[in-house]
Amino acid sequence: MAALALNLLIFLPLVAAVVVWALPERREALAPRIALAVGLVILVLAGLLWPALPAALDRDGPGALIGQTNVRWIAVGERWDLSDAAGVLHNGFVLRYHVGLDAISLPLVALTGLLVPLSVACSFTGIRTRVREYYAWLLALTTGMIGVFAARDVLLFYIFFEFTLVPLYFLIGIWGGPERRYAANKFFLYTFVGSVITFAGLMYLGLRAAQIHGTSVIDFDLVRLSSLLLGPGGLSAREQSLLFVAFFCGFAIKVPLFPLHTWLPLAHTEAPTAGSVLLAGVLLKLGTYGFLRFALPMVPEGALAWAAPMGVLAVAGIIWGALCCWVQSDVKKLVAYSSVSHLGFCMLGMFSLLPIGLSGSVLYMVNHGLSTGALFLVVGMIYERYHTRNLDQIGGLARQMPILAFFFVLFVLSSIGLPGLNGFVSEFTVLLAAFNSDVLGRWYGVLGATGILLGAVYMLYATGKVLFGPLKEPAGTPDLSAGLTRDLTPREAAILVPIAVLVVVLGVYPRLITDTLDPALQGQVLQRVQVARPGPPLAALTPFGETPVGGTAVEPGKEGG
Amino acid sequence: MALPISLATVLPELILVAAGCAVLLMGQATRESWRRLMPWVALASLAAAIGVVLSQARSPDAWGHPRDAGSGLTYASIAFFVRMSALELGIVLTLVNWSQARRSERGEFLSMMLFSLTGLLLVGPADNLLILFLALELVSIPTYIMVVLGRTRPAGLEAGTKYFFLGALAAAVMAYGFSFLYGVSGTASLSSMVAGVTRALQQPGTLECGLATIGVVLSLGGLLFKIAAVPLHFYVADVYQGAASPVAGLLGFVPKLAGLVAILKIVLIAGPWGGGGTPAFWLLWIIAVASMTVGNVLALRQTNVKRLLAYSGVAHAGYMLVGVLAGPLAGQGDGDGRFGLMGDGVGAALYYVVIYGIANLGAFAVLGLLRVRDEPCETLRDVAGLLRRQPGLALLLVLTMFTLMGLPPTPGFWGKLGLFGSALAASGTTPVPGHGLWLIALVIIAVLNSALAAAYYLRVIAAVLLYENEHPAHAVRNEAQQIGAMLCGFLLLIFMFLPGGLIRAGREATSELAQQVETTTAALHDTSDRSTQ
Repeated sequence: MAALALNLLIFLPLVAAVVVWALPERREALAPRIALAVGLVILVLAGLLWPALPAALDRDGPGALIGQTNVRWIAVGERWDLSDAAGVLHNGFVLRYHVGLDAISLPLVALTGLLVPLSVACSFTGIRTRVREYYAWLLALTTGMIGVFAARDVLLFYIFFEFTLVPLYFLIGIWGGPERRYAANKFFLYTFVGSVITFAGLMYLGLRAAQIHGTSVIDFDLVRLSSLLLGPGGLSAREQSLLFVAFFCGFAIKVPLFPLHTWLPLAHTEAPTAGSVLLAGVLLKLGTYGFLRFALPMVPEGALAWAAPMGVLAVAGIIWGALCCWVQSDVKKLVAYSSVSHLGFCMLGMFSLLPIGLSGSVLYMVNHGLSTGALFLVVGMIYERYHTRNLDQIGGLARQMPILAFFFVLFVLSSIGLPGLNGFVSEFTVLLAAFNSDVLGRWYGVLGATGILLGAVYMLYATGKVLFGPLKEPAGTPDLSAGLTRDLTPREAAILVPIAVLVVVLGVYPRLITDTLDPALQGQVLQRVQVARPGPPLAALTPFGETPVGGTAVEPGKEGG
Repeated sequence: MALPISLATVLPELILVAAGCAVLLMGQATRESWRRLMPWVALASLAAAIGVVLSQARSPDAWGHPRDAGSGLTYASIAFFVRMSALELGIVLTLVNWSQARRSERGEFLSMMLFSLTGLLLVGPADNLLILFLALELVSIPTYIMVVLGRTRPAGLEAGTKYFFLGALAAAVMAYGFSFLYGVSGTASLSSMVAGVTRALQQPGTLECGLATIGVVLSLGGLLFKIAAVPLHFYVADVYQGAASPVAGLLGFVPKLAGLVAILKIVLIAGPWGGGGTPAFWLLWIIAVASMTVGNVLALRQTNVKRLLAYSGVAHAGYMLVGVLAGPLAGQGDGDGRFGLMGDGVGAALYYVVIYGIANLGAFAVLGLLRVRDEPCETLRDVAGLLRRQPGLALLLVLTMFTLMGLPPTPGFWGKLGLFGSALAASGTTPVPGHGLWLIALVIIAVLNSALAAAYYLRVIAAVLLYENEHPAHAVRNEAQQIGAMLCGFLLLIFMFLPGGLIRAGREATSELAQQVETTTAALHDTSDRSTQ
């Protein structure tokens, strides 16, 4: 049952994409409806999968998978018997269509399932040219995003990872802003160049795995590659270090980590609203997910060796991104740069290599997806009415649009980490981990925390300009020709409400995710890092268990600033 | 005296030659209905030849396949692969070139194409330097004619002249190299030659070694022309631009497959896989790197799609050589350490040449169908905004570009996986210790090159999908050509989701090659053991 649901999640959007593309021109109005219906089905399916997880974890331990499907896609080798489904292969190569969700990937799939229908719904009025193609690409992108998180075969992951490039390339390049073609090309080439190097690394790892296991069949199974012998007879420290660099090339560009982030503000600014939402909400997570899923467990010694440089880049990204936000006059670009800053936090937590840091990092992925996705939605709604995003041209909108103002403020507060909302939980745990980490150290935490300070400054500054003060509207606006009203329409409000609810729920009760997440991270990632780690076992910090000493004193003080 | 070889074994070739002559005669007919039949005759002959080849493969004894050396033709599994892929792509080529024959000449075009395919069929089984040389020339000479047929503009004639003279030069170099190989080993039979040449190469400093080195280098050098690798790539852009688009599509497959198979045969006797620091390894390494880099860098600067594809073809020749360097025994460790697809570089190269041929042909077929103000469509500006006018052709062009780029999961990606993976696998187990690191370096260069190549393929894709055009291209009505183009697209889609069959075919094609390498290596070890004792 769960397997059927997961396969539907992956392939239903693709089938729908073909259907939408093939619609005759006079039925064009059906395209958004079909897309929305598919999006809602995805949301329901992702919701149905959620309750299955705790039971599976109790049954199968931290590596438990739900909705597993495992069939051979390509099998090449000698003595391959067609009649024997599980035929013994020899001197060969196997690529499996192996999908399944565990506690790490399920929250991200759920996030995708939530954001897809919302981004479809937010395009109803904004997209008026080449409508069928637009929804077809949006649905194709959905297949890629869910497939990436569900893939349990590393090569399959890579295929979905690259597949996401194509639809987004078209979404940005056809329906984007004035510089859309340049932005789309830059986005595609940046990501592609990095990921081919990652591909070379993955191939090497697959070959080495076969050598280490002493078999003649190359198999890219995720669990198998994440449990290779380290040290003598296995992967040497030098190999791991080089492989980490290969992973870094692909994933760090996707994250994006400073200084490889320059494609992001451009792509975000030029993309249509739905593209920005999905890019920030889901696609950037492919990079962080890649680090968590591949770099850490597959080459733990490499990750350990590079942890400090990664921390430096993360902190640099936090501060650089925040400073860039401060000087932006385009509010969409501001949100885009804030992503650079926020994902720096995410990486900082991950490379603290502490349980609390990893858990906070995954929470951060989800929370950033919610709050930044929501901010892009709100900015898109303003843009549809005023055709500008320039902070100097609009102002005092709160009086005109009180409902929008409410949501705007809520998401801004979530984004800067107000206690009680979701952003706080993840930011706090990530910084706590950085303070306590023995591979990073106190200074990383201190410098990272200034990012929160700067975040509050630029976000509140922008909010003040857009919402409060004297009313400023460009001439001839608001443009309500597309059936909009002055304040949010019920459709737009309905888009924002689910995110607002989750922002509060996850802020109050993050254990919704962490209860299942923590054991999975412990069993799948941290154990591997611990193997590679010299010295005493990991500090016994659990995210929401006993209160650790040292980290807490700093946090509230910073928050007040 | 009995003939050394039964005529029945060369029946497919005979069918094609007969059909070629028939088409030539039919072209002289004054009645239009006869001339309209010409492409049908070509199709029928190709289908019949496929039937014969399949039947020969099923019951080789009934057809009298000589498996022993000396007759000049050896029907090993690589011959089957070459014959089948040549004939099957021949059908697509006929469709794409359907109207080429009728426009201005009298059947010469289709008959030349059939003769060229006949040569390709003979390259597969050729086991004798002379037969190999004749077969390769039978592939090339008709292509010189095809390039100029029906071209009235000076550019087309210049391309033909350039192609012919450079081709003649390359053939002369190759023949000169063959003569050295014959001189060193005392035999023209490729399978008996292996021992002699390899032994000569194993004794550095001697005259034999020097002669054998010259032989190998010159032979390979001449063959580089066929696959359009650096440094014999100069003709390629002008020829592709000067020739009609469907012909350029043919040039991307027929000579490339012939050249690749011939290179395999020469490399096999030079033995970089068998051990020992032979010149072939370094020669191919440098050529592979130079072809990839030069091809991609030159393609980056093109605004004419035909020239762009021509230079990308140079780069693809470099990728194929990566697989050749990895060899059919890549990754063979002690005992059971051999790696299938990833290990079998030659199999991957054979797979890749077919996929490249289909994608390249598909792209040129689309270009051949398009007209801008009644002129053939050539530049990026011409194809701009194609999606609005011709969505089907536009998507096909985009699919071929993604395939050439190697984006997963297109068939081009499976090809690159095999090629680069085999080189990595070979790096760990190559008999010469120093070669391992050089192979890893080769893979890194190749991977970076495929990233570089994405930049110019993306320009074509962006032109087709993202830009608008004041003078949009329109498609000519030509059902056969459209079917041919669609067939390319379908083949690419099939190999996208089910690449296993073709990959296995490539692997099986090289199984006997692998055995041959093994026996040669074993024999060499015996002799070296004896000499040390």
